[in-house]
Amino acid sequence: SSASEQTLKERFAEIIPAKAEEIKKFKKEHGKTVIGEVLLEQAYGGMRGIKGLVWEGSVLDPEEGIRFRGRTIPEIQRELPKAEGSTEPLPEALFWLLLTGEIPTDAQVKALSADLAARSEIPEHVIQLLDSLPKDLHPMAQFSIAVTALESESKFAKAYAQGVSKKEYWSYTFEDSLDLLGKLPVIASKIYRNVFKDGKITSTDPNADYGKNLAQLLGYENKDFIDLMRLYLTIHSDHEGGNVSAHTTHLVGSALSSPYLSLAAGLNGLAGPLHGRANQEVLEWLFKLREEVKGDYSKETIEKYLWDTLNAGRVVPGYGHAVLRKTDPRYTAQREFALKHFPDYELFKLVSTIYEVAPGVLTKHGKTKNPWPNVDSHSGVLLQYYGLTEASFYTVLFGVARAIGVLPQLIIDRAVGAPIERPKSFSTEKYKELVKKIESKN
Amino acid sequence: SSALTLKEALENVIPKKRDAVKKLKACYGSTFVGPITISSVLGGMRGNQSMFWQGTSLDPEHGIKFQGLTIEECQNRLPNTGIDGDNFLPESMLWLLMTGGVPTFQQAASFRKELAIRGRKLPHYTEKVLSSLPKDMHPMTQLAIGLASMNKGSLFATNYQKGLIGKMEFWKDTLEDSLNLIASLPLLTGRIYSNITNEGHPLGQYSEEVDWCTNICSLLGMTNGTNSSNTCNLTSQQSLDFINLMRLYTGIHVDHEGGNVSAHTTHLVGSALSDPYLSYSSGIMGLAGPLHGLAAQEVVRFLIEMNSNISSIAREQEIKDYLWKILNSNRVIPGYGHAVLRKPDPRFTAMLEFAQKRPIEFENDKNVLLMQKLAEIAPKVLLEHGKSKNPFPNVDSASGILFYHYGIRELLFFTVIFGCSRAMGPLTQLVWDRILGLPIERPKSLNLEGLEALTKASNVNKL
Repeated sequence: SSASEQTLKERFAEIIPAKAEEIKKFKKEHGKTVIGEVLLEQAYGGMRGIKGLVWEGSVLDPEEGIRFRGRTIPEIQRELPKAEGSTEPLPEALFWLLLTGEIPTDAQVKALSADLAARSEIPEHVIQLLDSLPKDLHPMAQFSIAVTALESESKFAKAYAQGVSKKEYWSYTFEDSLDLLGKLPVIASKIYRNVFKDGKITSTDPNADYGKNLAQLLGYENKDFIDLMRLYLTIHSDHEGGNVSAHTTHLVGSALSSPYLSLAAGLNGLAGPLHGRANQEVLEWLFKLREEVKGDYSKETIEKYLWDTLNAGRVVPGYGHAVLRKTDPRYTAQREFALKHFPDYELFKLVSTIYEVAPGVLTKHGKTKNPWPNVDSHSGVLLQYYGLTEASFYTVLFGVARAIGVLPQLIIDRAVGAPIERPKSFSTEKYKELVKKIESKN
Repeated sequence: SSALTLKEALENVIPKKRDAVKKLKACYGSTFVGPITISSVLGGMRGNQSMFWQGTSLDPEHGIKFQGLTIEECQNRLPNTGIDGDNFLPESMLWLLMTGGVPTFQQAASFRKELAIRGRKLPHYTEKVLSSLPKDMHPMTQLAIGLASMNKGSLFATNYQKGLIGKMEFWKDTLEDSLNLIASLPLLTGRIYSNITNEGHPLGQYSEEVDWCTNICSLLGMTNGTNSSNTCNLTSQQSLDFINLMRLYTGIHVDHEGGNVSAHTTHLVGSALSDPYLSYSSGIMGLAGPLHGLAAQEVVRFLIEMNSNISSIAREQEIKDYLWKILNSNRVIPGYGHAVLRKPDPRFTAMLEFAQKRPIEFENDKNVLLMQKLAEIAPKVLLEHGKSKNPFPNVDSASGILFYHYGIRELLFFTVIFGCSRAMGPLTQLVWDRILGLPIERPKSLNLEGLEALTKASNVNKL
């Protein structure tokens, strides 16, 4: 077929042999090269700073922020194909980029959109399962449960049980991954409608793109909200491989669990308060702040509130990051969206004033390595503006986005034969023994 | 100590342990403990000495130690029921993992009772969820779903959300959730087994008067008594033996350091402060992976297939020829070798001894007899073959075939039993992570270009 008609799977199949060969050669030539060390404090400190994983889709620079296959957020906003009349990139185009390293054509993205829409049907037993869940079970637990239940559809699991060759693992993983991506908007919307609305969902539009389908399934027709979904899904997708949801998906996948189980496990990590639920905490904090300052959004008042918060031993949520040391470009992208579409929105004004004040306060406070805002500072506010006010659902949207970021690496791992992940652990007694032995040699 | 409950025993050891870790970090925090090579990054962190894990240590030569005790030491020192078995109670092992100390007989009995009470009933919403699942859904999928649904009852998740607890108190609700989770496993797994083998109709009933493993066995329909359907018509002696096999199996599978996929996943998810139910549900999804939790069933299939291809277990040369044929076609002998171990796996030894102590029970089981014969012959063949770093049997070589012998024929279910046991080690560590206030796990990732750039740095050196 001609290049412009090539499907994602065809293109990936073309690319992967050279990539696998490159890795093999690299390992043979440089396998024993030492590129870092583990200090004892890192073993107790969550592997912070330890180079442990290969992750092709994105790399996070402390100063510049995230790059997707070498491209910054502004660059992908310019370069990735968009829907007609839209100014935001299509998340399915990003999926193509993450998997292949290449920018797809408009025709290729359109075909991928249609392919994903065609895979959106949910098995009846999963619908029944979602309907059987208690309404007050956290939406993220429901989301993980539904994705887990889809395991029964796994083409990879069936093929593996039948003894398929290792060289073919990636092909079944690819099919499962696209099937899963196709179904996520429907599952997310079913949960949303079950927990917060009337439980009814509409059908996927075979002619609509991924972000538009997600918005419409949730029950939102607003054109700008649809664009917000496209932006949201794109910038929340990937943030290299070391964050809990990406790492968990990779770790579980390394034992050859299917994409369904691998992502479901990753979603359980995303459900953690320190990871994907941070956006919810920011919003709760904003509401409390708004209530306490009673409409006075002056810099002086906000500054006082921040100091009171810090002096009480609490953190300013939405600020700081494990890796980043500048303003998170994901924050910036959302800020620009708000400036363009609703500059006068009250909550946005509040967030904006905090952004003017907080870095100075945090720097003066002196205890943070990064006084700048991260993505969680802004994401809830944008959703609130369009009426999606149910904050406990936000992490589910994050989960849909995160799937776009983590599944490409799972496919690549199967294609290049990546091994099971198994670091070495020691107890406190063993570490004590080890460090004393090491120190006695020095 | 004289503590009556596990929680009290924990409270007694926590201050000293917190202090020990604090001092270790203060004195040796900047000490190098191991290198990071390109091979380790490309090879799944192999050799990467980067995790803290308190409950167990795995020595390549001596095998597993649980808080410093070998399996043999555990068998000699950990309390059993005192009335119906030679194997220690897994409840005693859980106490050891949590506190570092061997419980007294009284402490173990009290703890057994505590767990039995905690586990007497599943939440109605969990029962409803399990009822709605297709009966042919993979049992590990069912287990992961059941555990995740219990998130609704998580004390940690609820109280954390309310902002009611300070960081240094997180461990208490985590302990409550963890004990409730472990206690719920007999009913959970019994329900799942009845789903896949008995159209969802119960095979047994729960009792607060018996130990964790007896409840597991009863609910699988595998005990001879009023609490169980005794589906396989076990005699009283067989029933007792099966309960002790379950105690042995679950007692020694609780933990195998922190780097294996199920333990690491539980820790990783939990490090973001997800509650024990979501954390362990994720661990189960890793255990469901073919490279991690499926080895025991592969051995069963292998033994059955091999027996149908050789004329007699007594013919050693024929067995050797069969093994060579497999190796020469680039296949592996399942149940042999291990990523870390370099001597016979003590867990295998314990399972083998179980069989050897019951010669009459197994004398007509060709598969168990073949398992024992292979333990003599296969290492010699593998040594001669020369490509294996470890020619010795691991625990999977024996565990599945013993369950199969007594009547557990749903091979997929072996991993569920593994999952019951494996809950204990990772959840213990999760409690200790909270006690010590350990941070989120977040290693650095790099793309291939970034890794290549590092090898061109001027200060590069090689191992």
